[in-house]
Amino acid sequence: MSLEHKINNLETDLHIMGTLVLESLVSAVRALEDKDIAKASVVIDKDDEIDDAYMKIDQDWFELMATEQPVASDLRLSTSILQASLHLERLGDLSVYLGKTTHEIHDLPIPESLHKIVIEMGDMVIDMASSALESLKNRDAELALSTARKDELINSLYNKMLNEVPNISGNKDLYSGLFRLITCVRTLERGGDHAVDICELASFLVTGEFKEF
Amino acid sequence: METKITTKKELDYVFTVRDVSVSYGDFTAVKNVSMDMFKNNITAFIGPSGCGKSTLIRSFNRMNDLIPNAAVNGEINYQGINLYDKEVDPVQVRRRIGMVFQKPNPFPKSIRENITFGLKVNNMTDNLDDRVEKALTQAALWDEVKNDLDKNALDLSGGQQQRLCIARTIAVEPDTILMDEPCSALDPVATKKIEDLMQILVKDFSILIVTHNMQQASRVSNYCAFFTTKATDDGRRTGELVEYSDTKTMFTNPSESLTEEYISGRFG
Ligand SMILES: Nc1ncnc2c1ncn2[C@@H]1O[C@H](COP(=O)(O)OP(=O)(O)OP(=O)(O)O)[C@@H](O)[C@H]1O
Ligand SMILES: [Mg+2]
Repeated sequence: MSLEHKINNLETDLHIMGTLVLESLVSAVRALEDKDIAKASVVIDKDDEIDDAYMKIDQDWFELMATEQPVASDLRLSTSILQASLHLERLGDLSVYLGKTTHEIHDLPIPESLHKIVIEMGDMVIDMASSALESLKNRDAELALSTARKDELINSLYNKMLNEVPNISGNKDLYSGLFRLITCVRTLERGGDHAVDICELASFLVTGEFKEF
Repeated sequence: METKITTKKELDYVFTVRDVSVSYGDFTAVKNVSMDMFKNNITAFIGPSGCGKSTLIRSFNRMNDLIPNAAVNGEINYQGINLYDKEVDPVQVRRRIGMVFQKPNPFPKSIRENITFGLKVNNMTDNLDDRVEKALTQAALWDEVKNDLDKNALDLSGGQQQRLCIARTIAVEPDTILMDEPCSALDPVATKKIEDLMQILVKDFSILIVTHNMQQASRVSNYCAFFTTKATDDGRRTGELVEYSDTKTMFTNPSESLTEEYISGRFG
């Protein structure tokens, strides 16, 4: 197999992994929205598939480095694929975290307004991750930049959440649910950062120069 | 050849090459090369066979003078002095700018005599033993041969022979070492020894190396020049400089697509 062929395969594997991760993110956010613990369990179980996809890319990259010693654009592409796969793996972990949160909060009283913010953030992360992957696939630096800018929306939702929490008073169950929602938005906020990092890789593939967004 | 340094810029460059073409009779082997090479750095020349790497590197110490019908046009300044100036003595040039060849070529004499020969030619006959030891030490060969200095050089291994040739070159105290594929006849272990040696030598010398091994170029050099050949009107092929940059840029983000194709093995 030629070097080009091997790198093509690596990139195909990345996008297959990307599809798995997007599917699990969507299921995880919907499960959290509907407090659907069956759906959340499926998300948690399916994470192994994502981990396997990551391991395969990791090993194929390793072999590529050892046998082909790629340089120039081959080096930039193969290394960007590896880095993107690591961010996808973390986004997969985010889905698992949302799944576990669904289990923890499904029978707790949750203030509706805060629950809405969490779901809104979840949908933002899905949107950003999906556009980030598209920008990577199509070598679209403009889409990468506009997607990365959406991270500010996630950050403002995160702050909105933190500002609202002190206004809420309630019993022990309510606080226990609140606590879980707060750690959940913290995790979602990091999910946005992973999408931004993928956007940076997309832009790197186009320009050849690494820039932080 | 006394060094005449006028500006800071000249201090930093060992060679400044301006519009240099080298031809054999009516055939132009390499044309219009302009580049500045940094002192105390390793510069690698890469490019496909026939692009004129050896031709060019030989013009840097006037070895081409020894080839009938070879002609160098343009200007090669060495530390501020035009190498091809009428006043400049080519023998002195070759003492200051040493050369190591592809195939180790020691004289069929003792190890010691291989070093002392050039010293005697250059009237550097004081402290001969010290000079022999120093050169062999600098070439990372002393420990292996110090008890066998009278042994015939041809009985050394290929890698040892090449280090002996390097010792012979540096014994006459040059400032610059030109190396034309110095490792292509050596195994990976001997190659590694030469490459490690280059990293030590570069503190005292400026080094130019021609290599066909891309990994070697990326491993050892700080700057890298890529040459290729282009067809001329008469159907022959002339070498040209395509890209010259720091090695990291060359191997991660070259600016010319020809360079990219060549270093990633998709050439031609
Ligand atoms: N002594 C010579 N007389 C005539 N032509 C020569 C002579 N030496 C080299 N040439 C020609 O000049 C061109 C450049 O040759 P040169 O040996 O410099 O290339 P090179 O880049 O060192 O190639 P390689 O990588 O194979 O060593 C070639 O076309 C070659 O045939
Ligand atoms: Mg040659």
